[in-house]
Amino acid sequence: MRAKKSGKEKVGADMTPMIDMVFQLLIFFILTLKIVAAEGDFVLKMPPSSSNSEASDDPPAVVNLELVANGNGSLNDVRYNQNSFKTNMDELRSFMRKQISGPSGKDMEVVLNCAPHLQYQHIIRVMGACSGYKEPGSDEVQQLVSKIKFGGL
Amino acid sequence: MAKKQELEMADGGDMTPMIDMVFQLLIFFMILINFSDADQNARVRLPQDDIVKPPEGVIPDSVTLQIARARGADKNNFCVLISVEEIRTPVKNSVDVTGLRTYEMNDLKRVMKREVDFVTRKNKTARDMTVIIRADIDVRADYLLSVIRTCQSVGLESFALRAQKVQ
Repeated sequence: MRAKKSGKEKVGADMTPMIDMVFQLLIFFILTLKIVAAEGDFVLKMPPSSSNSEASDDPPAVVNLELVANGNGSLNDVRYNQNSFKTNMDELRSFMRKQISGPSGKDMEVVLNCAPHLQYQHIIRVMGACSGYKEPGSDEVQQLVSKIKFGGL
Repeated sequence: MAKKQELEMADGGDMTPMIDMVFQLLIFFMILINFSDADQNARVRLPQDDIVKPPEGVIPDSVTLQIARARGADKNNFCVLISVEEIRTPVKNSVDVTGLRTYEMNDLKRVMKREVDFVTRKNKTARDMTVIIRADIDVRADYLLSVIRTCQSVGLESFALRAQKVQ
């Protein structure tokens, strides 16, 4: 009778190790969590100049920008023909907006001729100014020039 | 009844809601953890821009090149890093502690040629490939252009210069 009674009793598992483990895992995931800022790309199509044999009848309008650097690699000036934008990216952006609204604006191509020691961060700034803008109060990017290249390649 | 008693604390409080909550948190953090950031590198500080467009999904047949300052070198020396998992054919080279292989410009052409050969075996061409460049903010233009030129020499012509999006 006693044996039968003990056979019906439920054997309680100790939950403590599992809870300990769950807490350990929770702390691990909290500590390893890394909030990564979103990244994006500036896409460039740059076939080698020697293989650029697809000569079209209507060549695109090309804006050759010259990126001048200071001795420490920072941007000194952005020049286009007689225009000098200094480091004012808003001015460069406005210029690009005017250019893109012209007759051959849609197929316009920008060629960046960078000083050898110019830092990458300034190249990206200029590329950003050439490739789009945001209206005040809006988060939507308005596309400007989609074809950007580097000179000397 | 016996089971319920086990989940009660010494002072009689019920632990079940707390355990439920802990499990919920655990699942939340497990889902949130980003395992796909293999192309992140602490040596590369990306420039920031608010115009940059996040890629729409994974770029097919892409190779990520990280350009960082070479270790122990003066500030004008840089090197290219390629994550180990993207190297289809093992090459003899030093492996960085971060799991990246370091390449000087001479080796880069050889490695990129192998990448192109791998893709051409899938009935694709080098033109279908994209080179994602994650360069440090201080990388010089001439070094960046020499990397691009090296890639062009093996037929690659599509490049994506990566930047961090400013919110």
